[in-house]
Amino acid sequence: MSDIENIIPSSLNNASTKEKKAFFQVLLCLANVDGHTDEDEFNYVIQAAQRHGIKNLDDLTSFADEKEVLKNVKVIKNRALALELIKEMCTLSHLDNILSDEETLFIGQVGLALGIEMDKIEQISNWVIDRIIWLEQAKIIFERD
Amino acid sequence: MGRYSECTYFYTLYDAVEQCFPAVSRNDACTILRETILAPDDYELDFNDSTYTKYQLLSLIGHTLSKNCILNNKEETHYNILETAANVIKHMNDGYISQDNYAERKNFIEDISRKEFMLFAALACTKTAEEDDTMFFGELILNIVRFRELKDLIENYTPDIVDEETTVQDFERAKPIYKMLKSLQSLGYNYNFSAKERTSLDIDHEQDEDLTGRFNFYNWLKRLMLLQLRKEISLPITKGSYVNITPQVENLSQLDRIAQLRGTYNKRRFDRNRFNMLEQAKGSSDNNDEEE
Repeated sequence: MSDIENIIPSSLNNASTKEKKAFFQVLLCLANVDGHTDEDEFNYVIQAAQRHGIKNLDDLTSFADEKEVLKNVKVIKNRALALELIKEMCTLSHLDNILSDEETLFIGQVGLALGIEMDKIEQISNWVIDRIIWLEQAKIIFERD
Repeated sequence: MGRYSECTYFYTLYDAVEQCFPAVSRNDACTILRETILAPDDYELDFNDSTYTKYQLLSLIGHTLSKNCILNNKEETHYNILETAANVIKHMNDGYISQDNYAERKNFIEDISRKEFMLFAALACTKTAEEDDTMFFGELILNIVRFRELKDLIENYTPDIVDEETTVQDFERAKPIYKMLKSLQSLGYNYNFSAKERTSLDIDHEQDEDLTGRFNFYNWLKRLMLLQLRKEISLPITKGSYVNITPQVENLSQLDRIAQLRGTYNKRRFDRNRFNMLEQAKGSSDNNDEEE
């Protein structure tokens, strides 16, 4: 969903509608996982879902709880898409500046449901954070802060 | 979770671990406590060239907390607490509430709240350690109830205001309370409010749900530890208090600021150990909820 697509094309473009729904449902659930819906995170996901052709947003928001979402996400069998989902979760959970206990738990549980190894999730999280650090560093180095 | 969910006095648990094992650092004391509370039942901790089961550690921590709080010198502690309570009632109702009077009230409420938390945590630790000392439990519960009653008494009979005048009616209302506290003081450690006094003063805690045999103390300890961990994500542990880690920006060089930036963001990385610990805690908490 960003400049990284020039290097690694998004697998979401070739995903089935079912996979796309599961993908964005996870992100919406993450935005709400610590008990309150973060409006920025919510809008970010909804806009991305619309860009990927999901018209009926009720399908995304109608899940009962995390357990249902964790069950639904198993529809994603494509490893590249699964890794991309973990990357988006790490990015999204960073939007409110804190990785809460609930977010940590949920990311790990989604990873387990998708068969992603814990060290791979750490790698992805580190990559996301390193990128943010790199960008923030630019503000200091180029004296734009 | 109700009472104590703000974790205001959680540091007293870390203090107790440090006191049990003076050779360990503050950080290690925190790790020991976290693992003691959240680890699986058969988990053993190795440090100081010794191995401890979590139940041994919970017992040690619980008894240390109770000793720190009151049980080392029961008579004197209660005499002093009743003396302070009587003075607060007197000074807060004698015509004018000065800054000093207000500070005396505030300090009293904080002190008694901390003591109440320590005894409740001591009860939770020793109950979880499956000790079978009915007398010890009874004494802890008796003192927790007394602290809750005294705190309520002060909150009910002194206004939460400062630099204000009080009325003759306030004085008349407070006078019998002051006399009652002084008379209880003369009874020594065995003092007790009567059931009638408790009801008429609206301070009854004899039937508190969290002091009954039905209460799940282990579940409470785990929930409290998780709440504390949530606080520590953004705030580091220091002795007795919590401070913001972010240094003042204006005095930092560019390199310092980059290092600071890295330090801040490093805390936001996914950590598999944290995930495993949280999942274990959630699993056992879910099991306990089902049992309840």
